[in-house]
Amino acid sequence: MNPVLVVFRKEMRDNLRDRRSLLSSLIYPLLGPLLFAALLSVTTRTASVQEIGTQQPVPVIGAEAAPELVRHLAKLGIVAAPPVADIEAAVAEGRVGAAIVIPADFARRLARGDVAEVTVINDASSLRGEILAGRLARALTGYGRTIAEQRLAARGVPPETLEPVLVNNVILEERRSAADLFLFMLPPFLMFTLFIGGVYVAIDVTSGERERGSFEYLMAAPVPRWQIMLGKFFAAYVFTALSLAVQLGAFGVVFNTVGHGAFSEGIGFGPAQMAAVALIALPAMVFTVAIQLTIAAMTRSFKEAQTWLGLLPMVPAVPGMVTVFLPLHPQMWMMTVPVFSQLVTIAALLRGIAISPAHAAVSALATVAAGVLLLRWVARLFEREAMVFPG
Amino acid sequence: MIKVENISKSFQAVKALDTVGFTASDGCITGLVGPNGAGKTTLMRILYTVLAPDSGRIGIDGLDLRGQRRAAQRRIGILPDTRGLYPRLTAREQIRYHGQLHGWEGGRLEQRIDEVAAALGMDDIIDRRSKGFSRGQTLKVGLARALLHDPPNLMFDEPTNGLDVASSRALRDLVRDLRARGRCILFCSHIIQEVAALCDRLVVLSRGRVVADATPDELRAATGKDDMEEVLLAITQPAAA
Repeated sequence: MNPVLVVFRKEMRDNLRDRRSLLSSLIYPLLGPLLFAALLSVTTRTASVQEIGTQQPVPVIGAEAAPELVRHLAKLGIVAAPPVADIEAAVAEGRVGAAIVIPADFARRLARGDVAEVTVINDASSLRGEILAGRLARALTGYGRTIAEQRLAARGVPPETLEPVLVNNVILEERRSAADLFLFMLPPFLMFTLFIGGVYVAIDVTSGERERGSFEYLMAAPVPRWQIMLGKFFAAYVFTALSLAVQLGAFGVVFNTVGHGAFSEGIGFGPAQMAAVALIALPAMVFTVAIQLTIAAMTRSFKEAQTWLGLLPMVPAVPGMVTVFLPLHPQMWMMTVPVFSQLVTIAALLRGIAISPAHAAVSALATVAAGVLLLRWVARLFEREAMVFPG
Repeated sequence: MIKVENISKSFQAVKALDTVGFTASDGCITGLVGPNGAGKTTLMRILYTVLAPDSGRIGIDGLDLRGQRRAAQRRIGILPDTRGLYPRLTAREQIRYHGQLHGWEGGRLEQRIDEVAAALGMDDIIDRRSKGFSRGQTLKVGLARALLHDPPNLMFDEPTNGLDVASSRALRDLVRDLRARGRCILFCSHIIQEVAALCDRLVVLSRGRVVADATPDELRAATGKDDMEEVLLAITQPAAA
């Protein structure tokens, strides 16, 4: 049997029996999807508040003073609910999303042609309350506008006077449903998993084995050290892939159950997207695992390796957060940067932007090449005495 | 046969080994002794190829350790001071891993594992994970690995360290049996009585140099002392004696 395979099989068996290795590759990747499941269920409920057509009961205090306004609101789906005692406290405590207060002289002032006030009470710290208050404000402003138009018409002034400039908005990439943002948040999570999924195995098979004292024995085996290194690399690679598979599967379940129907037309996270993400990630894992092995081989102890490798996922985190809010359109230079190219292509893919085959090819080749260079370096580190006996 | 010629090794400013040379013959137990810090472990590590000497030459059955490393490594069985077991693997799995790295596989390997395990009396531990093994059990796994590929040269570093009387005696019997079968055995220990009773020849290291290379009787005669502890002190610390 090839020594690479011998070492690989031994490391797989060894680490599959290690609770910490399993925890870091099979349980940690579930945290993101679970968080998303919780956030998505809140968001989809919140988003329904602003949907036109849904009946939204809102306490109206002083409704009897403005029956016409109440009818106008009802047409827009805002149903006047009975007043609540101590309305401000009720809103602050979240028992009521928002409320409308109409003063007793409301109708009288309008009839006189004066300015009539109406108050919306909401809690700005609650997303749901904010969205509902926005809907109320639009409805109330619309009512004011119809009255203004009536007054102008009575004086023979055309209603267009109120709107000398008509704004036409052509939206190319629409910020569609609120749930879409969760999909856009996926790339940094996936990158994090590429860096963390096999990290425990990468440390265990290098610094860990050295600290347990078996590394010295292994290095005396009649096998080229680069082959031993490669066997260990493949084990960490498989654990990373396992970790990514678990995460993709979990995200798939979350997005297609809790998030079902919440996304805009044309985007989503079905089997096609999952397969494409996996395909893009395969070369990236060569690089991330190679970097883990490099650091683990350079550090003197398990703890030191753990510290450095814990910081490593922060590197792609910054560009990762950028892609959440700004779509970075893939360009050729980006494809030459390992991990960043995968971040950009996965972000584009999830936004429904097509990825050119040339970009995909350059990204894969550049990343694998960088990974192989790192592995050659690790192979040289394995030849050093300091690798076996750190000073 | 292990032939060591003019081996020197420094760690930064510290000269751990200084032109060390000796020959360990087949069918002979060669003891490597000396006080703490004499360079025994460094020499052993150079011999089993995890450290490289700064200068000098080592031949294993005529194979140069530098130029013909793999071939030489196949002819060595080692028991390092750090036994280096994998706690999550069973004794059998560790021995099998070792065998596979030495190019053994299939039925021949499994049969050989059974043979060695039987010879060392490992029935009760062979399929247990090695986490929590006693020193004696750990030693058995270490020895099984060292003997598995039936190497002509064996290097044991502090093999009786932490063993009870019965286990130490069993180990000495095993080593004598290996000698009877013509193996070359390098036995490194700091328990001088044990080494003197077991070894045919003693190589005494002190501060990185070979200060004596003779049979125990020759050393007694040369120093005029009978107790091996006194003999060793006389050789390694002439001023104190």
